[in-house]
Amino acid sequence: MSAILTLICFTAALSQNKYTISGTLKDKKNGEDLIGATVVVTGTTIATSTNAYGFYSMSLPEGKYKIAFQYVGYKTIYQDIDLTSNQKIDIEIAEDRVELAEVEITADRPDMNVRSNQMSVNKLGIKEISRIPALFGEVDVVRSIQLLPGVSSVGEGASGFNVRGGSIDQNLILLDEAPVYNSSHLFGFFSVFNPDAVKDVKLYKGGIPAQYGGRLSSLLDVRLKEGNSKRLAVQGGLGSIFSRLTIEAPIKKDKGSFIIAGRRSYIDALIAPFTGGLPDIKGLRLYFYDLTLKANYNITKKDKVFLSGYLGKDEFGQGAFGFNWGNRTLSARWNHIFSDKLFFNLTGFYSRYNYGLGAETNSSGDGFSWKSSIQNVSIKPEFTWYINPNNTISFGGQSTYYDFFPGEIKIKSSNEEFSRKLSSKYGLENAVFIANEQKLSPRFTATYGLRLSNFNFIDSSRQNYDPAQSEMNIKRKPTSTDVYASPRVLNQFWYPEPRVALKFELNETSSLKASYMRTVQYLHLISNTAASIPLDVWTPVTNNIKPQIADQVALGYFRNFGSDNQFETSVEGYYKTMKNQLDYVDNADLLLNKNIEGEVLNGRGRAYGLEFYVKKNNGPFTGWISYTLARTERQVNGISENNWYANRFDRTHTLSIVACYDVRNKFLIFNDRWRFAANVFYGSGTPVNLPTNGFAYNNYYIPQTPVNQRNNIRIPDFFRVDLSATFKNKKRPEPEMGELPSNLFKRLKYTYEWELVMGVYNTINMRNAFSLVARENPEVKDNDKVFDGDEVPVGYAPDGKNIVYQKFSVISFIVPSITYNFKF
Amino acid sequence: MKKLLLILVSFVGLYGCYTNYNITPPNAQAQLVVEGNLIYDPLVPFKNNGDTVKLSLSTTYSSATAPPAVTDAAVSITYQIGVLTTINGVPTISGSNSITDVLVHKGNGKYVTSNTLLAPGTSYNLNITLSNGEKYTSNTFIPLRNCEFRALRQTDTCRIVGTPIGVVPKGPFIDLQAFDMPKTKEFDFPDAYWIQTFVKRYGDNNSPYSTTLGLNAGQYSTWRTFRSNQRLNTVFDISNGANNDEEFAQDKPASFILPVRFQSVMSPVGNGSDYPTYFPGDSVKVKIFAITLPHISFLASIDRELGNGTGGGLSGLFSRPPANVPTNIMNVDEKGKKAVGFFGGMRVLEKSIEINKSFSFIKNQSSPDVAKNLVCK
Repeated sequence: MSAILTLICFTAALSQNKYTISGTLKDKKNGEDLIGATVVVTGTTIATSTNAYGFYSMSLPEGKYKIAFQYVGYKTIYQDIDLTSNQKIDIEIAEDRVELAEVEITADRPDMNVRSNQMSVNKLGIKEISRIPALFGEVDVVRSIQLLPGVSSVGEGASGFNVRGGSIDQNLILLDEAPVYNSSHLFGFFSVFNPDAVKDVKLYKGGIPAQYGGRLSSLLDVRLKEGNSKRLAVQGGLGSIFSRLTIEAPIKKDKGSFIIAGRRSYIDALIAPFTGGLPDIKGLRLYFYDLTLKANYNITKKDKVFLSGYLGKDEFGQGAFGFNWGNRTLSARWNHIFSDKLFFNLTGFYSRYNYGLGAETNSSGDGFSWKSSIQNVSIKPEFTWYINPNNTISFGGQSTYYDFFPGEIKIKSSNEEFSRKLSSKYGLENAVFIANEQKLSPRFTATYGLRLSNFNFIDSSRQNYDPAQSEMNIKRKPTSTDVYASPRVLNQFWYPEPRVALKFELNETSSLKASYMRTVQYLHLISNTAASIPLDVWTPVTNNIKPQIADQVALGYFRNFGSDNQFETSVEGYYKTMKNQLDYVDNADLLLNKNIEGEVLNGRGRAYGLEFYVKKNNGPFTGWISYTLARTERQVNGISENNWYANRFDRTHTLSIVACYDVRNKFLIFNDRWRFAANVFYGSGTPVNLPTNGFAYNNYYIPQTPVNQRNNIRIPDFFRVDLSATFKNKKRPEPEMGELPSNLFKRLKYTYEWELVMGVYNTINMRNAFSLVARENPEVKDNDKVFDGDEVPVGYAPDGKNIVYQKFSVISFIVPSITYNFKF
Repeated sequence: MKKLLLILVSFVGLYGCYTNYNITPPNAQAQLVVEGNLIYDPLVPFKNNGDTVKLSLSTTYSSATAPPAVTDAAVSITYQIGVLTTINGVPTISGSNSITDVLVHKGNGKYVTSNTLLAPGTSYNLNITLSNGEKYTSNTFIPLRNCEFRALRQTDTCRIVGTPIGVVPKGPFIDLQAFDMPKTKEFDFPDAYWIQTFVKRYGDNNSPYSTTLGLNAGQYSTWRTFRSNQRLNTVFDISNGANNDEEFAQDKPASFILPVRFQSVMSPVGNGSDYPTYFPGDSVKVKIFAITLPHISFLASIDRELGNGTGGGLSGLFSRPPANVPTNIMNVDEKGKKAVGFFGGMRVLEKSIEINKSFSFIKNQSSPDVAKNLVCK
């Protein structure tokens, strides 16, 4: 720490007698802050970029300069300045309609791949995401990032995603800084992010900045649009499975704006005509909805406030029975510019994830309910100090209070009530951080930082287990329980989390990067099902469950080719070790189990891999190819005879090809209003648990696996091709005099845009396996009984005919879709 | 949870499917399977023969052939016999004279006792020597007491929990009432019971009790179980996996295991028809076995594993990783090949009833997915 401060003071001293230019960059059309736009001093290598709030700052010696403000897809603005004092320059830049026609699929500087100090980061603009053929034609953030190198999932229909061998709970998913605990709608077919309200998506697989912590494997930073601060704008879509509507408008022109976006699925309504005659699914309730909103206001030239919220719910039910889950988040932020060089952001957020399961209590006094939740509140002050062109320091802290409610079940039968409730657990997580991005030479840049985190486990009781049994695959019982009159800090953990990233530019088109990061996670998601389900329980670390700790090193080579960096390529290798990874004893009962800590085992994990990425940024053909070769394993004493075994989400080979073609010259009936896109996805099989043997007992046929190995069989490889064609409106005329009419209806002539997206998901009709199961053979209707004159209890006979291995495919046929999108 | 799975299946069933997949499971080595039951019947207090130990080998799980019987093993049971005493009115034999009963192979891997005197509280050692010289051993005892099996009766109307008033499916249903004994100074430990149901079809007097319908004997049965005269909650509660573990059994001493595979909402009743399990004129017999705690853990594990993802739909997706059921059969050589199965001492109570022949049921009278939530008058 002292070394960092010395370095800061030294570099600060060097920065004397310089002046600063600072300000914000916005989109001229709608007033949106532009994230990652570049400010370049022409004729030099001096450049900076805007932060997540569109703010930039750079210090230069006194003199005359020509400054270029750039953002891909927008007209570059040049401004001459005579720098004799500090200057504030706020810029609005307009979309380059000519360049848009040329199609860009990245919002970053063309050479950002090579020049940026960050590695293991993928950024997807919403325009880019919207080009990818999607299930049911619905653009989705989480499904899109699964096409990037190093990202995978267990399969279609699985909640969440896995990054570099990490489990789904190891992803920090932030929606405008507030964490989202379950990013899935419909069990993972869609994510909670409404694409119409999303501005920017950034996935950190490594090199996570010191400002962020609390999760082991990745950071998915989703930023919402601020809302159009110039005029009323409407956007929406009518799709096969749900519809969307987004409204944005200024609160006061150029001072503040809001956006409100909603979605509602209607699968239940669509399938209702087909379910009436089926007693099993008659009266089915099956839908989700979400509402995303955000408002911002410039109080002064130096103060801006933001309020963001999300409310989403999934509802499944039938008759009196119901099952639901939902996230809600609320985050408030205050930007304050203390000086030209010191930017401040204060974030406070509330996040809650809850699920419930139950049947309504009817007049006869029968029913049951079951609910569980996790909620937290947090405050995070953060400073960015633009000391000079060579040093940018970030520092701050964060404090988060957690309330874990593991569950309560109530059953009422004939007015007799049975209740079982597990008491809440609490946690307080604190962190301070400091990081510096330092340009050591024109070619060599280092970002280094330290995060010091602390977690306090708070409860009014804790269980103690026999340490001698801690590595045994048995259901353990507490040897004693400490009980206190009121909740108090029972255990405390402190961990330093160093982060380092280095970049060395070999030449203008290539660079070498390396990074190391330690991350610590004080939460665990308790789940031992084949696929994660919304009923999985979050729990804090305790005296028995230890914090997860990961160390990751990564090395990468980045190279661009072609004119204007037409092709960007990268190769990255990583190696990650993980401590205190949970696995479960045989027959663990994880729900509503007060002794759950006696049913988990602490182990270790490792993950390593190579990621190849080629991306074409412009021209009629755009897209990317990503290939990942990876392995992720665990070793837990008491499981698999203490040997390393593959994780459920271990996928050796993953190949994604995303290709998009914008028609330029008329071909048959297709003109420049058409766009075609394709995905090709291949993944080798992930391992599952399957019983290998069976034995007969009391006329039951019971599964058995003589060799004790978790995840003993791999499912078949996965292969899928998706196609889409988009037909859009004719190019709208430019408004006369450059100004849009104030009348909404007259304005439509210039602003109404639409597109029709026709998609075919799983075009080649693959029945890709999600999992393998051993099950009763459904083709054997009448189970043959084998009994020898004894009384035979109800069951089925060990004739061996009744068990077959089968693969289960979530999507088992071609899924066509059509979606109409509009905006004005 | 079963209902949840049903809904999930309903959704994913619109898109998902199962297809057969041929794989050769690795390391599918055969193991010795032991199924040994010593059943003490208070109505036959000094029975010393006719109990069985059945031996077979495990097979590849998807094997099309029946598991082979082990017919050439040497099987014996050793126990101590001595003074006949009475504990709480229960005759108990204790002493120091060791008796070894060499069981006789009666075919198909079934070995039968001829001199094993059963008595509550007595321990029995099982010894097995296979033809290849491998030796296995086990131990069990007969529980000291059973519950009070108060009634088994027919009832004709039941209300399904959660359905609107007025939807009253009509029987015939079987209603069982069993009372767990309160703890006493002498019996300060959990009791465990296993309920089995048997059906003999009307007019089929020559066949043993059995059933030809479905997998769910309990589909149209209700079970009322009591602890110290306090009615426990529905079968749904007491058959919940979490309640069957030993830990929970200590909180609620009466831990009843229903017929294994009682809950199988994926399976339609009787080939998908809407017929009830029991027909007028059928004879229904229910046995309640008092069993040991390791035995109930074994049966509960079977219940879990058989209901864990074999039913199709999404049950495979959201099932737990398969786990081996526990066993009390040990190889004498600790490093030797392991065995599976159980050797258990039990004491039984049974009642039977004949369904009223004059009862006429109505087709399509109820939904088959209500296995566990029936409340009867």
